[in-house]
Parts: sequence; C-alpha cells; structure tokens
Amino acid sequence: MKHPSIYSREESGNTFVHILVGIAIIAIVVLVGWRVAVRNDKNTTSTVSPASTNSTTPAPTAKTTTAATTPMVSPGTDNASLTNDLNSVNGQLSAQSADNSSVNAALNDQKSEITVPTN
Amino acid sequence: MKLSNKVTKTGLLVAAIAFSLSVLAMGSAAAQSASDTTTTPSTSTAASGTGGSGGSTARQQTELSNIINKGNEEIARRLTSLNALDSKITATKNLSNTDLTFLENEVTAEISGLASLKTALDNCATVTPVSSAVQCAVINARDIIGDYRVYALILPKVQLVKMADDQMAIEINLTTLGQKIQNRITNDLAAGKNVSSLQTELNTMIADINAAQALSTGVEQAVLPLLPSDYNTNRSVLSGYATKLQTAKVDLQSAAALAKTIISTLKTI
Repeated sequence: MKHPSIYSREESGNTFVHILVGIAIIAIVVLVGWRVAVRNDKNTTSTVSPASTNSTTPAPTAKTTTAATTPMVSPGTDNASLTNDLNSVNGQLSAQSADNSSVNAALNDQKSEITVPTN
Repeated sequence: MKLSNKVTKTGLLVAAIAFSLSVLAMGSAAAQSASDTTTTPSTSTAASGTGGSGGSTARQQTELSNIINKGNEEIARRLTSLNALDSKITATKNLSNTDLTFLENEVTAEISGLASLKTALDNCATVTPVSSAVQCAVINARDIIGDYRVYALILPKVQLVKMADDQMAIEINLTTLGQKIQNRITNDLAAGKNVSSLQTELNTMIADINAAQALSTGVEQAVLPLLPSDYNTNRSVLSGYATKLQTAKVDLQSAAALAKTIISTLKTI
C-alpha cells in the first residue's frame, strides 16, 4: 500500500520538494537583487569626488572642513626645514674655500709655463 | 793677426750658441723655480748655431739628448696634471652637457696631442745630420709650451669653471631657501606678526644672491671657451676672473649670514 508522501508527483509531474527548491531559489535571487540595488544606490550618492572614479583607489570619505584660525605653514617652511636648508648651504660654502685654494694654486702654476720665444 | 782675431770671434760665437742651447734644455726647470719669463732660443738661432758649430758633433749630440729628455719630462708633468683634471670636470654640477663635453674633449685633445708630440720629439733623435736633429727637437720642445698652454691656461681655466659652477649650485639652493623664507614671512604676516624688518633683510639677501649669480655666471661663460691660442694672443686673458669669483663668494657668505639671522628671528616670533 502506498502512502501519500512529499515525493508524490502532482499531475504536472513535479514533486513537492521541487516546488520548495524553486521557491527558495526565487527568494535568494530576489534578496540578492535587492541588496545589489541598495548598494549601487549608496555608491551613487557617495562618489562625489573625482578621485573615486579610480577603481584602484578607495573613495575618500567626506571630510568636514573648519576655517583655520591661523594660516597653515607651507611645506618646508617650518623652522626645522629652514635650518636644514641653511646648514646645507653652509656646507657648500665651506667647500668654496677648497675651490678658492685650487684656483689660486693653478694661477700660481702659470709660472711653470715657459713663454713662447718671440725672437 | 787678423786670422787669430777671426778664430777667437768664431770661438766666442760657438760658445754663445752652446750656452743658448743649454738654456733651452734647462729652461723648464728654471721656469719652475723662478718665473714664467724664461725664453727659449728661436729655431733660426738653433739652426744657425748648430750649422756654425762645425765639428762639435759630440756636443750637439749631448745637447740633443738634453732637449729630448727635458722635453719628455715636461710632457710627462703636463700629462699627470691633465689626467688629474678629469675628476674635477665630472664633479661639476651645473654645466650643460654641451659645455661638459667641450671641456672633456679639450682635455682629451691636450692629452693625445702631447702624447703624439712625445713621439715626434723622440723621433728627432733619428734625424740626420745632428744639426737638423737639434732643430727638430727645438721645434717640438717649443710646441709643448705654445700649442698646449697646460699651465698657463688649461689648468687655471678648469679650476675657475669648477669654482664658478659650484657657486651656481649654492646660488640655486640659496634662492630656494629665500623662496621658502618668503612664504614663511608671508604666512606670519597674515597671522598678524611683525615681520617688516625680516622682509627688508630678505630683500638684501636676494640682492646678494643675484649679484653673486651675475658674477659666477659671467665668469663661467667667459672662461669656458678660451683656447691656448687666446692665451698666446693675450697673456692676461685670465686676469680678473678669480677676483670676480672671490667677490661672488663674499656675496654668498653675506646672503647665508642674512638667512641665518632671519631664520633665528622667525623661530622667536
């Protein structure tokens, strides 16, 4: 004797399990589609910076700017940077003494040359 | 009696010519210790002297050897000095590739020319008769000096260009520093700080840099194209340039001192 079961075929030939699986698949597709649609909507509203068009660079988060109370120090104009540059120049100036000595020595060495005969 | 006088005069002439040739042979050594005014005898004198000396072949041979040996010593001394210049030239920072190549080619040409001259001088030993050999050696020995001007022009020229070039590198860095200081002063002024005296000092600093720049650039442009022939035409062709570079150096030191003062003040305000 056969009992009616979930495996029993309907008139169309599908089992009950087949129907459940189909419903589940449709539900998953709908859910995924909805999530994708929501995400795209978020991206569209947040990508206002030209930098976000670069696919390899994460879009920067929006920053709120506040008016500076004091002017910003330009790059390289802080005390340390200026002192560093000055030290570099002073080092070059010290080397000028060696250049000066070389020039004077070379000019003195002109005496090592014999003059061209004129007679 | 007349014959005796004639013989005596001829003997004196030969002695005088022999002395002249000895001066040629030792001329370079004398020049090193004394001054640059040593004068070699002219070719015509040497030629007539050797021709007139008649049978003193052995003495001429000795003189020939002396001239060749001394000439080779002088060539070797110059080659050593020229080879040492290479590092100086490559160490220049602001020379254009064209100017750098010009200097390098000039030194290379001097080196190869002197090497060829050494060969020519040595070959004089094979010339006959010996009077012609002496004449050959005198001509080549004279070319060591007149054609190359290693000590009179090339060495001081390269040193002057090197110093001018180094100064131009300092001027570039000082100019950059001046721009940074200007930015800082502008910012401090916007912040309500009193920086008027600093601006005056900065203006003086920039004027010093510009003055130095005009001098060192002018020296480099004027000295770089000079050739040995220019020195032969004008022995004072290099005079004044060292003084100009010295003045530029003082200007740069002044600019650096002002920069130091300004930066020190900026730290306190």
